[in-house]
Amino acid sequence: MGPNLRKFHGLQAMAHQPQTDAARKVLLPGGLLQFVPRLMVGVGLAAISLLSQQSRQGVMPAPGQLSTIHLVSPVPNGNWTLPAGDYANTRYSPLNQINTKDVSHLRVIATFSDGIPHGQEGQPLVVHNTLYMVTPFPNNLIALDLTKPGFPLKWIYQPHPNRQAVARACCDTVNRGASYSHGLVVYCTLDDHVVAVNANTGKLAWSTRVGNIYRGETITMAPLVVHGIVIAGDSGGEFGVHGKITALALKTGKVLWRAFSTGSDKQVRIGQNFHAYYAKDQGKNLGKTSWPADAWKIGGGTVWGWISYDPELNLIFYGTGNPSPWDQQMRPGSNHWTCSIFARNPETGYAKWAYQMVPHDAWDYDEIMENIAIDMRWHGRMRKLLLHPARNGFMFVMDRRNGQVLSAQKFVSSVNWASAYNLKTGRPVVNTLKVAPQGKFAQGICPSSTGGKEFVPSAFSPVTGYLYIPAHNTCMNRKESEASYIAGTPYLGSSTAMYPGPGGYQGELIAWDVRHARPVWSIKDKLLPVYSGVLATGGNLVFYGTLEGWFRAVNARTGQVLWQFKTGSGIIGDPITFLGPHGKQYVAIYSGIGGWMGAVAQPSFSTDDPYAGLGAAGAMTAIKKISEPGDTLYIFAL
Amino acid sequence: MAANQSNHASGTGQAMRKSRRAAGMIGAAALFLLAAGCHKKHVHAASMGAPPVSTIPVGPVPGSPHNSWPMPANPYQGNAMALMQGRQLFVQFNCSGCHGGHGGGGMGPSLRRRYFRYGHSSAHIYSSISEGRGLGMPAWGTKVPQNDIWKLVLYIKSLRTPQEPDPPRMPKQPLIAPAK
Amino acid sequence: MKFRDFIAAMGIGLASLLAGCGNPQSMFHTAGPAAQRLAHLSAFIFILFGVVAVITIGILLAAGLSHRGTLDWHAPWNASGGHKFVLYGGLVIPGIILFVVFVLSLQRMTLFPLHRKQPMSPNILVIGHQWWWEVRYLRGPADQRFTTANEIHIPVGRPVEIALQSADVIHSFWVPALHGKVEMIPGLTNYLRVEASRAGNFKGQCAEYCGAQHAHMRLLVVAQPPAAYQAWRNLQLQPAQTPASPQAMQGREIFLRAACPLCHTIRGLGAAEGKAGPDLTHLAGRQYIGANSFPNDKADLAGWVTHAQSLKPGCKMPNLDDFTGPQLRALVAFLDGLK
Repeated sequence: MGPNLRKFHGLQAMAHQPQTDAARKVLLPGGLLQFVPRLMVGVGLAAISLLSQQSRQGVMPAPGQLSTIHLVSPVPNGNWTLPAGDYANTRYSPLNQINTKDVSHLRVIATFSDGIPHGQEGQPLVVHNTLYMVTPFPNNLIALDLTKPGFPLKWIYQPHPNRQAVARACCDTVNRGASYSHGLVVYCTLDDHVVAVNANTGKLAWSTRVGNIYRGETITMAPLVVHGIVIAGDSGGEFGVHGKITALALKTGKVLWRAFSTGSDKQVRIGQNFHAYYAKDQGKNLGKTSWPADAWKIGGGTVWGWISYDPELNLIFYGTGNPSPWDQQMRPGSNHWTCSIFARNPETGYAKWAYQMVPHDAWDYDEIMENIAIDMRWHGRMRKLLLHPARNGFMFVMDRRNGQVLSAQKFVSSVNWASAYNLKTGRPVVNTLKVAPQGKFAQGICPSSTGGKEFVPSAFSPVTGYLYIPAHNTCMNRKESEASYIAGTPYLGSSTAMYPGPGGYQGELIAWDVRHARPVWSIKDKLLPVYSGVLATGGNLVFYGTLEGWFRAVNARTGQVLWQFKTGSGIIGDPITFLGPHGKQYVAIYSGIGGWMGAVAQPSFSTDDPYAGLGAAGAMTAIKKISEPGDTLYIFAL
Repeated sequence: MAANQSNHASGTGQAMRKSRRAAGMIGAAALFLLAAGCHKKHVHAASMGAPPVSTIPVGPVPGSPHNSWPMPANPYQGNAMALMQGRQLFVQFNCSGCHGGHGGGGMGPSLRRRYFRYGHSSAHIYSSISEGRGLGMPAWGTKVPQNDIWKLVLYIKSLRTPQEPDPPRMPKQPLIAPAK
Repeated sequence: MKFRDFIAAMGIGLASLLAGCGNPQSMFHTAGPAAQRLAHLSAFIFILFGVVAVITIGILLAAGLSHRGTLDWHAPWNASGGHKFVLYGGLVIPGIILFVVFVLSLQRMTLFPLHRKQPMSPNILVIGHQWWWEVRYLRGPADQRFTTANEIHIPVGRPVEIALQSADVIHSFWVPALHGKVEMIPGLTNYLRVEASRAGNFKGQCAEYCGAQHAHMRLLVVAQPPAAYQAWRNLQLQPAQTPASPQAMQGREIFLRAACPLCHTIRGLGAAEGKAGPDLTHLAGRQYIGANSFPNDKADLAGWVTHAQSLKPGCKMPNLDDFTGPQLRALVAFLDGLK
């Protein structure tokens, strides 16, 4: 990949004049874009936000931004080209045409149904007046033309993935979206292909298989493109796969490097420059020595969540999933590097640091949650922070240069698997009563395996300094038993049944004051967990959806619900905002219930078995009377 | 006195005879139980003349006015031991991983409903397990012995009936106080 | 009961007693401090109660011979001086004897630490299954741990802590030459400390009825000098050997294609690692198969694969009888090569 693109980035760093010209200058030498944007007029900052992401000279502050906060990568200001909008994963857009004053006039402009009765996670992309949506399996890529009334279909790309992949997707046949770069829309299919599609024509540019469904490997995550490198993870932590991330060249689809989550240092790509902050994470070949003989080969540690990137440090950050099998007694040891956070160089793949958040996980606390990179004043001085609202119910604030944990506070009050984190050793203080033994139920473990928060991403507003966390309050009883590894079938060894946690609510949108490590306000959902992503905007608004199907706009400071709209099905997607033609602001959200907990709404589940759906059915008995599956994209505007 | 003694003796004699009879009856009962145990069927489906399972039609049979294709019955029908073993195999072979701890569904569809995409007769379920299905159901027939598949079928057919072994119970919800 | 029957019953009883005195599975022929002290206790109790029995029988005989007649002649309340005799002979003396035995038993029980506030860090975890024993070696760093079945190796002269669990019903872990019985209860972990004072093979047995094949749930403890034990350990940590002959190579393919890996693990094959049956990674190194019920040789292996339900009816191992002759030979060659 190298030289060509490097030159290209150099050019880009110099190009600081406004958008369109800069775009052409940059695009033509790179020769990567086969099209010239048809309608660049009035797109505002669209192109520059897309193309100046690699600029190392700092980022323009967003209007109204707190002086104590510094943004690391440009926030999406018109287009939405990356899964989270920006590299830092803030999911914040400074657009403010829709704001606290006029949000009550928000109305539906267009809808688009893909006809699939499975969960629609993730978010669409918007680039140059085209909206791209990736559907759940069969993973079609649909392009909508935003320049025409009603936003009609422009083209549809159908990858026809292998149908056998369906039964190997642990938690519904979802897909969490695509990334756009240099004229290509890149996403992953359930049957382990990374595909790049020409954003203009809808023709396949390349397709590379990076896994094997017959070993239980699937992909549901949204890849990230950094410096012309596509970084894709995998799923299958419930099938005993060998978790990994794969880097491919954006131009050709050739595999550049692979980094496994378990195994020898070579396999994990831990080299000379690696330095873990805590003693517990230091040592040679921990990915192998912290497992019983050969167990690491089927030890999970999948990467199915969000990848973020800090252009200033040139590091990607991502978390790894649960160890396999769920039965903890079968895998004595700390089980590195499952439930960990990695910082890697995107070009070489070598790790800079890593931190295992949950040593010897016994609860399925995948730590694949979003890692939000911001610079912020922390106890008197500016620090490079990584915010990680963890599945295990703790809100982590870390130093992203070295992986030091600065603060770990419970954001869900019922959390009881551990009482606190020891910031000196980096270890949780585990309540051993909540570690299920074989053959006997450990009762009242909070949070349940679906976590204090699922993969659904939170949003950080640099204007309020709050992190908006879509949280769960679910507990479980769990019993473990020996599991047989049979390639391509679940490798669990656990009976899990979940139920709503204490306090009479199961879901909560929490506004978390990062600096003071405390909640500011929250909106509780009595019956159901909050299972949608969050969007924060410069209009002082926070958007999110509920499993009931309500799409809401909330005052970012007070938590007052200012507007809501009932969509056709439960919402598990992530809202985005963008500028359409003529510079008008839109908000888009997927409606379509599914995902681990939401899938219980689908007809293929029976709620009289609380152990159904890997234990989620017990907590979701209400859903059958509330929502039916079926995916629709909703686009709103004033 | 002598009479008294002899009475006493005959009394104990009667008691002894009674107890002997009782012992005999218990022995006979035990023998009967043993024999009942011996009578337990050792079924070998293949040797029972059941048609090869691959001929089980999933769709309508052309040229026949009603769907009266002969379907092999489960050779373990009514066998409580096989039902228990079916439940064990359901967990052991990771069926529970996809279809839910008690068949309520997950990655694979619920088996607790009356609706089965490929037919809900015992033979159809056998065929689905044995041959696998298009959305990722593995073809277990190449691995799992026929008898064990029939035991699994027996268990699946028992779901939501009073015969279901180890039926699901809603989890006990203990009072939870957050750890200090 | 006729005299003949009595003799027969005594004969059977004596025979079974004597059978218990055989070398490898005897609680009298001890091989460790715990079992030895138990044996001492039982010898003491045997002698003590032997004396009690002799005295009691003597008193009964004396009473029987000195007082004749029926109950009508001797009402119990008429027995002069009997109260004190009953008080001392029936209450105080037995009370003292039983108390002594009780205290001694309690003292011996401390050799089997059954329950502790603090979880122990056992060397070995034994899990009872219907009807075999899963054995996990737990000590040391995670990558020094491995799983085997039915045959426990321990170093001579070192106490070994064993945790006991059950995967299904109540079993009982008992190697008479080494220690006393300890129950294996589902959902509960019991602990036991075992030490072998000399090298040797010590047979054990599930000592709690656990279903049809309870009698075939046997166990072997191999006590080895530390060096030999370490060598065995190192071998166990290795993944399975690559088959030496083309026939065994073919056998490996057959193993993978057949039902075998759904229930059995052979580390290093990678396709399937079943846990429903014993780990076979180093099967050929074990002395017996079928939970120490049959010798581990090619003929018995072949018989076990094809007719397990005849050898051990009701066990989870099915009859895998659709192999051709050459296939079966290849499969057995492969299994026999798993040193």
